[in-house]
Amino acid sequence: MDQSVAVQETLAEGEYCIIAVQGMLCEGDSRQSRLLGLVRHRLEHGGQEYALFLYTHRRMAITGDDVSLDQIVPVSRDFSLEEVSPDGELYILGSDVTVQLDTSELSLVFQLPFGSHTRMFLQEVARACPGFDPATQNPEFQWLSPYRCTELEPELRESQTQRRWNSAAGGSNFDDSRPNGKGLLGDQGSWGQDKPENVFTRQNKSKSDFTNMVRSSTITVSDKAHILSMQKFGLRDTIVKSHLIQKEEDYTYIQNFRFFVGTYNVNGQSPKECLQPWLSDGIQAPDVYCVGFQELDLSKEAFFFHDTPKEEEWFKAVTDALHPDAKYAKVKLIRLVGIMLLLYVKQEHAAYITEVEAETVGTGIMGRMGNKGGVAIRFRFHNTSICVVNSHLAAHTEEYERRNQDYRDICSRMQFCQIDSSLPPLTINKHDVILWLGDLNYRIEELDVEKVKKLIEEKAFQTLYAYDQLKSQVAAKAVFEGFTEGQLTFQPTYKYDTGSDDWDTSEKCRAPAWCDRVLWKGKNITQLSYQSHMALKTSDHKPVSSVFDIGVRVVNEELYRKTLEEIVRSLDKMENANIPSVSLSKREFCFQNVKYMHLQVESFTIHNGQVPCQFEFINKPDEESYCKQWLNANPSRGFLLPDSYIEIELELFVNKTTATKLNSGEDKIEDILVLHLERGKDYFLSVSGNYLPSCFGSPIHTLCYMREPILDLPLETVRELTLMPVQTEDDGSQLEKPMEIPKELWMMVDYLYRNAVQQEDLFQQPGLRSEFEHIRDCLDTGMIDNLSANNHSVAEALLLFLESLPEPVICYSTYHNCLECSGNYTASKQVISTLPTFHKNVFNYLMAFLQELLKNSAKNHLDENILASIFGSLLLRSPAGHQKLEMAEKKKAQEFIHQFLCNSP
Amino acid sequence: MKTIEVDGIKVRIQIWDTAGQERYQTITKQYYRRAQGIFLVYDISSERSYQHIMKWVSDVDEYAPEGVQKILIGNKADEEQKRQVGREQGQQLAKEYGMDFYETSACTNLNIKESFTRLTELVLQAHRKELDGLQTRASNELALAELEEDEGKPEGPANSSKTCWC
Ligand SMILES: Nc1nc2c(ncn2[C@@H]2O[C@H](COP(=O)(O)OP(=O)(O)O)[C@@H](O)[C@H]2O)c(=O)[nH]1
Ligand SMILES: [Mg+2]
Repeated sequence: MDQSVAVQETLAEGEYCIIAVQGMLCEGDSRQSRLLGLVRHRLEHGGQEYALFLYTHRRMAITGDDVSLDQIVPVSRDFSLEEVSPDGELYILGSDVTVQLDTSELSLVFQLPFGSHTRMFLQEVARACPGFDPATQNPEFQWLSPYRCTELEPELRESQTQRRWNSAAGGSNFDDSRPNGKGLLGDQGSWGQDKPENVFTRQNKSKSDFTNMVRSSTITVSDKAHILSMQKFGLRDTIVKSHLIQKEEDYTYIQNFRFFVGTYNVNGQSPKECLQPWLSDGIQAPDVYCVGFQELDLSKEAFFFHDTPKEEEWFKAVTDALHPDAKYAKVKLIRLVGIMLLLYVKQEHAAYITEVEAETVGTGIMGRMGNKGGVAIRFRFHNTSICVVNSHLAAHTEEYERRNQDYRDICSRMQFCQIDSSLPPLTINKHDVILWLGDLNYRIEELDVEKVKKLIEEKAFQTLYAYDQLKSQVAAKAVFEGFTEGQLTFQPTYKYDTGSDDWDTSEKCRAPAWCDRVLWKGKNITQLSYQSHMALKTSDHKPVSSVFDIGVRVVNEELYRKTLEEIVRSLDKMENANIPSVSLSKREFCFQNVKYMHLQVESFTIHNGQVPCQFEFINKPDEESYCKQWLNANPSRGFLLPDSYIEIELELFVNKTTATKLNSGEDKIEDILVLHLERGKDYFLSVSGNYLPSCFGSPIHTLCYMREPILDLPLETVRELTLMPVQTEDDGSQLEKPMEIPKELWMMVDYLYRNAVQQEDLFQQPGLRSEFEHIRDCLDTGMIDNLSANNHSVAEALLLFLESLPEPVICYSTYHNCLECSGNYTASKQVISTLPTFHKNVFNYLMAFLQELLKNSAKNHLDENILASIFGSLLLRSPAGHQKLEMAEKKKAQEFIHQFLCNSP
Repeated sequence: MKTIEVDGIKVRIQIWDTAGQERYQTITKQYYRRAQGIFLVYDISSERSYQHIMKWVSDVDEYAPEGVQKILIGNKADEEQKRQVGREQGQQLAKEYGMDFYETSACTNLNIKESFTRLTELVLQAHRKELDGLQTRASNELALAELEEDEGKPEGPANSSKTCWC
C-alpha cells in the first residue's frame, strides 16, 4: 500500500512526501509501528531540503486522519540512515531490514519490511542526503518550524528538537561522520556477483531448522555508499557481464531439479489438518517447494491492517508437512492480504539461490487493493532465473474478462528491483522459468450444474475440459500466452461443502470448477504429476499440486573461471592495445665539442604504433621547461596517426645567455627529455656532450687573468677563473699578473686598427657566419696570426664579444649613475673612474679606438652619432635585462658615450 | 593494465616500468610518488644488480609514499647456469628489509602471476580499512610500479619475452 498519500495530507502546501514506508521503531524490547515519510521542501531561491517525518498511526494509513506526527528528523549533513545487521545476527532472507537512523542528536532503530519498496525508500533517503560539497549551503530547515508544535509531547521534545536543529544547521561534523569515501571504491562496481562463491551461506544459530539462510543479494553492502554507487555501474563490469551471458553455455550444464508447486484456497480457515497428503505423501523429497495460498484471511482486519495470525499458522503447517526425507530452508514468504506464497529449498541448495526479490500486485477494489491480485518471488537458482507467481484472480463465472485483465495487470505491474538500479526493473516474463499457480477462478461454461456433476461422476474430464474458460481464453490468446498446463486428470477443486467431499449445497449452489491451477513457461520443464488432494477438507477448495523436473543451468566452476579469465584477459588486452605506444629510432644523443654559437642538430624518428597518439615533451617535475635553454626540440609536440612517423630535431645552440655557466661548469651539456604520450607512457631521452669554453661569454676580468688562449687552459682553470668575483683593484695576489685588457679584445681591435680604419660602413655591415666561427676559433686558440677575415666579420665579432660579456663594460651597478650624469662630461668621467680596473681599461681602450676611427671619417663615413648609438647599447646594458629599453634611456646611453667620443680624454 | 583476482576481489592494476639507468634517477624518483606497490627486481645472473637493490630500497624509502608495499624479485631464474646470486642471498636480503621474495622468470612464467598476486594482496591489506564494508564488490585500480635493476642492456624487441604472461 502506498501510504505516502496519508502523509501527504498532513503536509503544508509546497511540501511533498516522496515515499513512505511503514516500519517498527525498536526501543529495547518494545516495537511500535511508525510511518516514515520522506518529505521534500522546495526553497524559494531554488534548491531543496528534506526531512524524515515519523508518524504514529491507527491502522494501515489511508488518509491523513489515520496518522499523527510524532517526530521530525531533518535530513541534515550529519543525518544518516543505514542498514545494519541486527546484533551481529545473520542475514535472514526475507526478514525485515533493520536500519539505524543517526544524527548528531539521536539514534533510532527501525525494522522495515523486506522488499523493493524498502529499498526504494532507502535509496530515496540516500539521494536526499545533502552532498558533501562544502560549497553548497547547509540546510536550514526553517520550513519545519510550523510542524514542530504538532509533534507529540512538545513540552518534552522542545529543547531536544531545538538543539537538534541548531546542530543540523551548523552541519559541523558532516565530513567525518559519514563513510562517504567508500563511494569511490564502490563506484568501481561489483562484479562476479553472479557467482556462487560470492554468495555467503551462513549457519544460523536460531532454533528453527528452516531458517538456514541464504544471504539476500538485494543489498549486500549495507552502507549508503553502496546504495549510491549502484547507480553508476562501471561500463567495464557491464561488458564483462554481457560477455558472460553470451558465453553461458561454455561454462554451464543443465541439471534437473525437482520442484513441488502447490496451490490451496483455504477460504479463511486456519489449518486443521496435517498437510502432508498434499505436500509430501507419495513423492520423493523435492528440491524446491513453491506453496501458494489464497483467502488466507477474509477478515477486515487482514484487509486493512495487513496483519494476520493466519500467516504464521499456515507457514507453520506447511513447514511441518514438508517432505521428511530432507531439510529445507525457507527462502521467502510473501503475502498480500490473503494471497501468500512460500518458497523453500533443500538446505544444500541454499547457497545457489541468489537475487531473491518478492513483490505484490493488488488488483482488487479500486484496482489496487489486495483482496485480489498476485504475489511473486523471483530468484536465481544456480544460473537460471525463476519466477513463481501466486495469483487470486477475479471471481464469478461471467467475469473471465476481468480475470484476463487481472493477469495482464499482474504481468505489467509486477516489477522487481535489479541490483543494478540503472537497469529497468525485471518483469515476470524476463525469467527463464515461470511457474504460475493460484486460484485463477476460471469456471466451466455453458453446461448446467447437473451436467457438469454428471460428467465428473463419469470422470469424463476431457469432455468437461472443453468447457473450461481458462482453456478457451488461452486458446483465444487472451491470457497466459506461452504458458503450458498439464492435462487435468482430477475433478474440479471447487466448490465443496467445507469438511466434506460433497459439492456445494449452499444457496448459491456453485457449479464445480477447476479454479485452482498450475501453469508453466520455459525450457527444460517436465511435469511429473498434476493432481488434487481430496483428503484435505478444511476448505471449500481442494488443494492442487504439481511436481516438475526443471532443468537448471549449473555452473561448472572451473569452466566459469576459465571463461571469466578469458573475458577479462581479452578486455585487458584490448585496453592495453589502445594505449598508444611508439618506437624511437634513437634515445641517446651525444653532442661533441660544442662551440659558442655553433648550431648542432641531432635528429630521431618517432614511429607510431596502431593507436593514434599525441606526443609532447613535458617538463620534468619541478622544472619550468622541458629541456635546458641551449636545447630545443623541433617540433616539441604533435599528433601521429597509426603507423605514421615524424622526425624530431634536437637543436643545440649555446649563446651568450648559456655560455658563461657552461664555461664555469655550473652547467653541462647534459639533459634528460621526457617524451610523454597522452594516455600512454613516458620515454626518456638523454642528451650528453662537451662544451669547448670560449672567450665569448667569459667575463672581462677572467680573460685578463688568462694569459694563455682559453682552449689551452685546463678546464678546471677556466672554471675557477670564470667563477672568480670581479675585483675592483688588482690586489696583486697569488695569481699570475693579469693583463690590462683581455688579449682577445686587443686582437680584434688591433686587427681592425691595422686593416679597417678606413673601411666604409664599418660596424654597419653584417659579417659572415663562417668567418665568425673562424674568428672565434682563432681567438680561443690564440692562433691570431691565422686570422684572415673580412673586416666586417671582425667588427661584428667585436660587437658580439661585447654583447656576450656577462658583466657589461659599464657594470650593471654603474648603469644608472651613468645615465644620470650623461651630459655632464666631468661627472661622467668621474663615474668611469669608479669602474673595476679591467672594465675601466676596456672602456678607455675602446674609446681611444673609436676616436681613432673618427679621425678617418672621411673614408669610413663614421661619425660620433653612429658609433655612440652602436656602442651605447653594448657598453651600457640595463640591469633590468631583456626588457625593452625606453627610448629615453637609450638616448641617454648614447649621449653618455657621445661625450667620450667628442672630447679627448 | 591488468586485472587479477585476489580473495575474490577483482583488482585492476596499472603497471609502470621505470628506467633503471642511473642517469634517469632524478626523474624516475618522481614517479615513485604515485605507486602503491613496488617490485624491486634484480637479475640472478648479475651480482652487480643484486648489490644495487640496497640503493633502490633507500630511494624508495625516501621518495615513495608512506606505506608503499615492496617485494623483492630475483629474475631470470631460468638462467640457472649463469647464476651469480644464490637463492638464499635473495631470501636473506628480503628478510633484512621485511619484504617477500620470489625468484621469477619472465621467460618461463615462473612465479610471475604469484608475485603480482602477492603484491596486490599486500597493497589491498594495507588499504583494508577503506575496503571494509565493500567486501566482494570492489574492483579497484591500484598502481604498482615496477622497478628493475637495469643491466644496461639495450632495450629492444628482446623485451617481448616479457609479454608472454600479459
Ligand atoms: N633468460 C631470461 N632473460 C630475461 C628474463 N627477463 C628478461 N630477460 C632478458 O633480459 C634483457 C633485459 O630485459 P629488460 O626487460 O629490458 O630489462 P630492464 O632493463 O630491467 O627493463 C632482455 O634481453 C630480456 O629478454 C628472464 O626471466 N630470463
Ligand atoms: Mg625495462
